[in-house]
Amino acid sequence: MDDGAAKHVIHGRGETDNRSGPFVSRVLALEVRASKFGFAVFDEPAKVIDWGVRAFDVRASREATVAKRIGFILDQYAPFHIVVLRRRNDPKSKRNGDLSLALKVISREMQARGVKPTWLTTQAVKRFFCPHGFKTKHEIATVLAGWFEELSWRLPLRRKPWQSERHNMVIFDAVALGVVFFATQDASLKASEH
Amino acid sequence: MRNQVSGNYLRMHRKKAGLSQRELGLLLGYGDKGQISRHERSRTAPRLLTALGYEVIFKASIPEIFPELHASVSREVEARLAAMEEALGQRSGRGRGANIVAQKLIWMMERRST
Repeated sequence: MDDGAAKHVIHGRGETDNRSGPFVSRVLALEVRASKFGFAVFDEPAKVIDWGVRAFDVRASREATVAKRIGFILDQYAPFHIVVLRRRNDPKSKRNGDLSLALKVISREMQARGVKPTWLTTQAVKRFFCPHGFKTKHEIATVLAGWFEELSWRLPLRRKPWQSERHNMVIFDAVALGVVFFATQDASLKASEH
Repeated sequence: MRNQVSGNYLRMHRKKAGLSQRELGLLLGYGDKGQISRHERSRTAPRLLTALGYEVIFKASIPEIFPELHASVSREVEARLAAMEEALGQRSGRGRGANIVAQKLIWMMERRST
């Protein structure tokens, strides 16, 4: 597997810009599911400062729980950019309503704090990782665990086909989203320079 | 809301180590996790001994763990130093105490250049 080129994209811009302070490039990457979301907070392309999974599988007060969970992260880190994965709406899914509600609440909380999210698709993530030979979620998570050594102990075991996805995988999905966001920014920066 | 923004990497270091707030609290001699949580959320600044404890545990310097706190102290002290230098510069270069004023100004100039 050749991870050199992809690694260069994130590590090439690892220096903090002292003119603008250490936290000006803070990015929150969110992978929202029907009953939980994974998050990763970046201070620089190569520096993840916080990560985790927040569950909100509470039937009675789902809306309030989502708002509380995301509100805490938004207030604590005050990110300059938020990147969220846009999932295709699957009308057959039983959890579709839950996911829509979670996304609605998260968007509302962001709007209340004056931050506009950037939406990325799964295709964008695949487009970034596939050319380097990382096709499956586990392959992507493994390479990310190598780049961000603080996350390596959270890398889930490769799941068997009959097993459901591991709880931790959503963290790596969020980190992948952040990496793709920085790569996109990098590409648009280079394009504007030319 | 902005005043609660976390400006330190304490949580990052703790999570990297896989330690819970309670475990870190125990390592530092606290009975519970409350103090660690307040430090992580930048609600309160750690005492010097606690900050040194963090440095020992994570093998990272205090400015690396608390960059915003360090930057804020640095800004304030630099501003006071500049004010002191200006005040010293306006004093007469003659009479008693001229030597010590000159020494202070030389030290400040040298400090700036390093």
